[in-house]
Amino acid sequence: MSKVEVTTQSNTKKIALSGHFTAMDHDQFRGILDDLQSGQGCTSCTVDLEHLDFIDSGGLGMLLLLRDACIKQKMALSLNNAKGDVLRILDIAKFDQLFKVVG
Amino acid sequence: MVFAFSSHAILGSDCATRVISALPPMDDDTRFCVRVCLHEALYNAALHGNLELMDIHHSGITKQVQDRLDDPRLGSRPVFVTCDATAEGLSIVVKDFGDPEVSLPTEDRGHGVGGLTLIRRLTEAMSFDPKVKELTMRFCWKEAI
Repeated sequence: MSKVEVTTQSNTKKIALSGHFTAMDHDQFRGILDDLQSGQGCTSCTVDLEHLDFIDSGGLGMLLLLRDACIKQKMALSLNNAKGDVLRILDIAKFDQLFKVVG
Repeated sequence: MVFAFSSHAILGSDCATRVISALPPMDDDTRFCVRVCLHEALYNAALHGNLELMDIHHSGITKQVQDRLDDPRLGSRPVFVTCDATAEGLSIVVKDFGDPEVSLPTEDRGHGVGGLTLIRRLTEAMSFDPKVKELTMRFCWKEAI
């Protein structure tokens, strides 16, 4: 299971993921999506992947749901600090074509 | 080499790493590919195979998974992993015991980053036989160890 921490700084929502982000984290992540869709005046969202060790197709699917929510709320979205296996999985999934991926 | 896992073990622990630790030493690149593919194959076998869940991206999925794990008919089904390592490479067959008559996703839908897409991109070859519920994956060694 992944640990998910959400903070808000000025107009940016920051979501920090750590551990293993898989399909089993859906319910936990759904709460974040619902919170985003309720609208709290944020104009951007960043997902910090620095401490994430592994992501599977279920986790990738949840990032796509987040992308849909941000588009709906007209929020900019970026995936930050991915490294190692996580960065490689993002590359294999061609997420650089769908997200702003920041090193 | 044959391994048997319960769906509960697959969803609650890192079974892919347990299998890899019992295999012959392999280079880092091959280990990455095997780990990702085995994880995806095991989750597919447990969730879409044994537990017969079509869609996992909806509210309440955690409770639905737990309810099906607690159902003796579904939760007792095992997943078998058969590994065959040769000088050329590695073959892994993942077999579940879901109902073959239940229509389950064998191709990715929508976003195109489902487990089978990742497996297809990281294996030399892959095939799925829905009649016997077996996913076969083949890997070539990238470097001699």
